[in-house]
Amino acid sequence: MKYMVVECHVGYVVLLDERGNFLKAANFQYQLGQTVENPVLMQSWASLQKRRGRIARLAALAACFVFAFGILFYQLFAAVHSSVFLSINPAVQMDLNRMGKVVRLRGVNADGVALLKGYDGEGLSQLDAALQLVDRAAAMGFLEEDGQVSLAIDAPNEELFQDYSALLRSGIEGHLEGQTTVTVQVIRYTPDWQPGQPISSSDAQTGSGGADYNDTDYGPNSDGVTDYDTDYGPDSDGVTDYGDSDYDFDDG
Amino acid sequence: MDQEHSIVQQVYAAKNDVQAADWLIREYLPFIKAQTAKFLQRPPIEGQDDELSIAMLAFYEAIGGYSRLRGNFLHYAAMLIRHRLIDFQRREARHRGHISLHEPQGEEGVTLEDSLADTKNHSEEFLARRATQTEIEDLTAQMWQFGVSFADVAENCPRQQRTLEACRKAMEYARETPELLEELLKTKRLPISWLSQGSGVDRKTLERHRSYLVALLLIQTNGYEIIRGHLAQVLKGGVKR
Repeated sequence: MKYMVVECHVGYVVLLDERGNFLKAANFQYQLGQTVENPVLMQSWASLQKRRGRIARLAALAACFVFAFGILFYQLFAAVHSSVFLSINPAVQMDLNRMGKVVRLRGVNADGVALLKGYDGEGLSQLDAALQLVDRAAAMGFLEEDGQVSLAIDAPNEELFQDYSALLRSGIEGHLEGQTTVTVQVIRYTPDWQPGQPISSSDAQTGSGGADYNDTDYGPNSDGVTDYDTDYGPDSDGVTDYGDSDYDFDDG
Repeated sequence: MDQEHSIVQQVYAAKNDVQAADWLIREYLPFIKAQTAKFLQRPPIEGQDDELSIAMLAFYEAIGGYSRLRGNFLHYAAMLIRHRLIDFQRREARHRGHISLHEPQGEEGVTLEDSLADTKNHSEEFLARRATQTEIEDLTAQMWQFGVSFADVAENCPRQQRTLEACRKAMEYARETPELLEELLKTKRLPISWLSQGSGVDRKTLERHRSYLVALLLIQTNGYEIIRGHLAQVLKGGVKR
């Protein structure tokens, strides 16, 4: 590429290249009208600023991605999504993230604080943590034969409550099978929950040979036996029960 | 503090005034030489050391790129000078190992250039250069009538290929429309609407690069054959630096 010197200044020259571009370059004692090759072109502040602007925009975009990723990461892994209040006698609150991993453990009562002393369950699944805490309680003499393990689950929706309920109850029962006879009760957490408070039979979902007062034909409490009411099926008593009905009649 | 304030005012004035920028560079030439000497670890020789030219260009760049947020202007300029000198040194290092035509050879100190057969016609070259200078001076004077200098045009020159193509499209239309060029010379104004409608180029693009278009359109008019020739092909008799 050849450049024609079209203007000379103290600190620079203006060159015209063969493509019609006008550029500023270092003045190596050039003369007007001279044709040069390989000049040292000025990095124009416009292009510098554009580059800086581009870099700044890229940096801002990268920062947005990091921020968005950070928020996503926090939501998935760090933010508390649900809680399980494990009560034997020691009462412990397990805060879980969306993945069901423990993000925080807190002793709810003095025995719970003692149970957690020297124990780090962060990052474990809710079941692994619960099993380890049950073992610690047994080792420390808190869990005895015919004892009770209560779980109050604070979940944002019914589906999660049912999932955790089934997982924890079957997991703890299976873990203790052959070791000790313990009743596992699962209830839905309410703000007035207190560790060790009596749990009514209507509230509890129990296992380990206890009476199942929430016998149902569906879900985790299904006992595999269909319950027919007295209007229909083999147990029909021949007398139709009007009144409370699952169906709405449309007279029209 | 007053001196700093004064320099900043001068720098801001020089950003938009070519003559003010030239004046400022001349005023601070001792500073520029001192920065170059610091880099070379010896005083620079004017007219011989390319580094001094690079430092002056860097100082001019500093004028354009400076803002008060950058702090002290001379510190900023010193930093830019150093960066440019380092870049230049790296660029020149690529040519190390090449033999210079000006390097004295042998005991008598005869340069390689002197020993080569001289096939150039110096008088023809001188006349060609003089003709080119006259054309450029004429074009400069004509551009001044439009309030445009080559330095302005360099600032205004499109950088993106897309914009360059758009401007070329406008110039192609102007070249094929002599009446438009006559209008340009008569009114001393760029007929942007006409150019936009005729070439199909967006009006805003033409307005943004007005100075550049004025220069290129004037080159299309009579009297600038040498410069037009340079744009089309290599100018014969040009001297390599």
